[in-house]
Amino acid sequence: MLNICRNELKKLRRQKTAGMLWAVGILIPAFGTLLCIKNQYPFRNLIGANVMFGSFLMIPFTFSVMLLNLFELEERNHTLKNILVIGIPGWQIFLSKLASALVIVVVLSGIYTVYTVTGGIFLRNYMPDVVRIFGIYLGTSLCSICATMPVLLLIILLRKRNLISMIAINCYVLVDFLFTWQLSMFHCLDMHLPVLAAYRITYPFTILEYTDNLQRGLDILYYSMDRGLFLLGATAAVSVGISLWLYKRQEADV
Amino acid sequence: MDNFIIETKGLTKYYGDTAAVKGVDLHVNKGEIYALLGRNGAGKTTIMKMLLGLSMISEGTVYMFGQPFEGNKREFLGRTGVMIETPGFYPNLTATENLEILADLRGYVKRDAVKESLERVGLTYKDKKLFSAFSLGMKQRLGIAAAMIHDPEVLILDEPINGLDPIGVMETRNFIRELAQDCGKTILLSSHILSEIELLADRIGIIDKGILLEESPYEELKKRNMHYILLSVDSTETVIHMLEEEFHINDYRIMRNGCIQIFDEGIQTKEIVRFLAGRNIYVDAINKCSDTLEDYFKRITGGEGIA
Amino acid sequence: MHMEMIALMIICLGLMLLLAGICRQIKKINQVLDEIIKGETDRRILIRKHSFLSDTCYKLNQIMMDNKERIIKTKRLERRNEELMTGLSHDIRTPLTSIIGHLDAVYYQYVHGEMNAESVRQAREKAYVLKEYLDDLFQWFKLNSKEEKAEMEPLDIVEETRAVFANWVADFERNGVSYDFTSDMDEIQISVDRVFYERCVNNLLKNAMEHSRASKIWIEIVRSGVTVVVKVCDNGMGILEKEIPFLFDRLYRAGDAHSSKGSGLGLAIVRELVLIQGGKIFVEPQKKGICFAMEFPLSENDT
Repeated sequence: MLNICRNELKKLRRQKTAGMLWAVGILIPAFGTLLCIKNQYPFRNLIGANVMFGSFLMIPFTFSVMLLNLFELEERNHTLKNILVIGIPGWQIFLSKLASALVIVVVLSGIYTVYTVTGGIFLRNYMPDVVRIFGIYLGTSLCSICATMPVLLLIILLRKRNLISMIAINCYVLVDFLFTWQLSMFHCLDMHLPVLAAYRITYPFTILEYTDNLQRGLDILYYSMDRGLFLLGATAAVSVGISLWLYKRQEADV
Repeated sequence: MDNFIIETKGLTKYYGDTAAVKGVDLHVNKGEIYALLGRNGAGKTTIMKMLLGLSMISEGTVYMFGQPFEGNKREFLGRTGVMIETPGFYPNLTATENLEILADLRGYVKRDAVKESLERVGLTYKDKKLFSAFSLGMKQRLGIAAAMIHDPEVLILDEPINGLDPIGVMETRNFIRELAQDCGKTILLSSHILSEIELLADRIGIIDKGILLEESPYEELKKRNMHYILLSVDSTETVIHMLEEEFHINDYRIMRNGCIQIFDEGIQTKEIVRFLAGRNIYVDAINKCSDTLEDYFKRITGGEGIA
Repeated sequence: MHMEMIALMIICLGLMLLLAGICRQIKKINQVLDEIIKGETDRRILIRKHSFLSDTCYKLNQIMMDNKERIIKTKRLERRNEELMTGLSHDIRTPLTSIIGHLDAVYYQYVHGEMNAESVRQAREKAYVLKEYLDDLFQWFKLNSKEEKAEMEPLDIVEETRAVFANWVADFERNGVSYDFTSDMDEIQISVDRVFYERCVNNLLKNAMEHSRASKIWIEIVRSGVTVVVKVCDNGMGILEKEIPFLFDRLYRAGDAHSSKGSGLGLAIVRELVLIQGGKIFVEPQKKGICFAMEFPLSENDT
């Protein structure tokens, strides 16, 4: 399986879409970090901003577009039959594409860590705990990815029509982001949306220092960990399961 | 079942209620070139896809190397090289990179498998040209290279000369023949270009509307075809009259250009020549002819020509 | 404590997976080898590029492929021999049929008087042609199976070539062909087999006379660097560019292939003879006509 993942990443060489996504994923947080530095936010605010805009916007966005790209690559170039004719079953192809997209998520988290750690040097209350910061980013990204997993269904259903699928997944990601960003809007806290659960259960871990308002915020945002994890896990598992089944059914007649 | 490299029993595929392929019993021997002959849409590609597990089989079984295909998929596919429909590769990668991905996934048989495979079809190894800049001929060649990286025992080629220029057609034809004759590989190919099949095939399977109408060695097909004597003379009517009197022919046809086609069996050309010479008739041309493959195809499928 | 235990466990797990993977690969290899032993010599082992067993598998495959190459070469050789046989039988049958025809005519007394003598003369001529052809063929077979050995001796190539050329002067004059002989230097020493070399020059001149329809045939001897080039040239029909690679093919007859004069072996023999003496032969098409060039290395004392 590792082999297949590695080859999936090889297919992205020199590709415009992949290149653009990497550029977006690398440059925008740099830009964000610079903004924070300019406005002299405290360090914890830098982390908070990166979690909000990075883990809950940029990473779901890059993840879903990259995943769409990977699936659509085979459609556009009629290369799926080449792989099927080697004897690799459809589900392995499916899962390896998923895994490759996850690899990108991990790499982006690492990049955010680097930016945060370098940027934090210029800010107050700097806490150079690299492992913890990476952990925060990785954790929040993974939770938000689990919440974004239903995008996989959209991809599998719509991948033969490039434009529509692109619009659909972007809408999904944006809507999710809006919910997290504007928690107070629309009585969001009453809804058990996966993305909200993702945000709320990871919130406590993103806190670096305790301020007075914090306790109140934590009380408002409180969501039981096990329920949250269950919700996220279920979303991810169900999405992957149904998508895999749909994929197998579609590819029976390649 | 032991001798056939590929064998199918009652292969059927339904799309909804219609049968795209019905009850096909294919038999391909080791080391021969088997040609599937049929019009566009007759079901050739569907059959090939079912052989390889790319398309779901509604009914019937596929046997390869004597064993059922289902349980040994990976192993059998590792011994088969495939080029189906248009060869598909990643346009943002070079030819070498494309083949390296496929070889990585499948496994290598030798260290420079990719290099040798490319050079064999006339492409350069580690060339900087991206696939998007390839001509149709080069794409086709890369397709063949991809089918050959792992030195397979069986090759399944779907319309391998599609879209090639005459030189490319000749080169591909020689290449395929060399593979079968010298290297002993088994080749299943499909085509709707009769002239090429006539030059290549050891065995022909005729497909029409999803049914395998006939499967026999090409030599046998040629022998079985309708034989007739083609006679070209100046005064057709006189000659017909004479021949009727002398040889009692009654199964003949007069063509548009005045030539006579004599279908009667048992009459020899030398008898006719001697007889006509004896009566001072000038014979312009006399020939022993048989149905062309196209005529045979038309007859057996009861329809228009192949194109 | 904890971290080290976990690290150790991960390493152990990794090693076990590695081992399991290798065992699986070995099992697959054994399966393929079993089939090869049973007689399926076309089976190949597929292996990942960076596995421990990659080299071993490549070598096993290489052994099988080399075996296959040998079988393929033999098959190809058989096919070429078959082609040779077919060509041969044709080249022998044709003059033989003619001889039989003529002799039959005499025997059954279809012809009388002077016609008789004419038939016998024709039959005799064809018989000599047949003999010449068979001599050529035999020589070519010996050369091809590397039975012939060149007996090299030092001689003056200019003098040697001049002598051979002189023998043809009578023929040239009879057929109205003008001729010329030029040489860079008066004396050039090289090592060749005298008999073979004469044969080469004779064959080339014969080829020029019989096939090129030239009005002028000449020889040039040029010394260049450490070699000497002997060119036999004519201003006749010449050869098409695309036919050049096939010229020395034993059965090939360029251009006027319907002429029955000469076998296709003449040039093929020249090539073999030149090669066996350590030289090279190539073709230089002229504006009108062609030059056959033989290149030999100079003797040590002359370089």
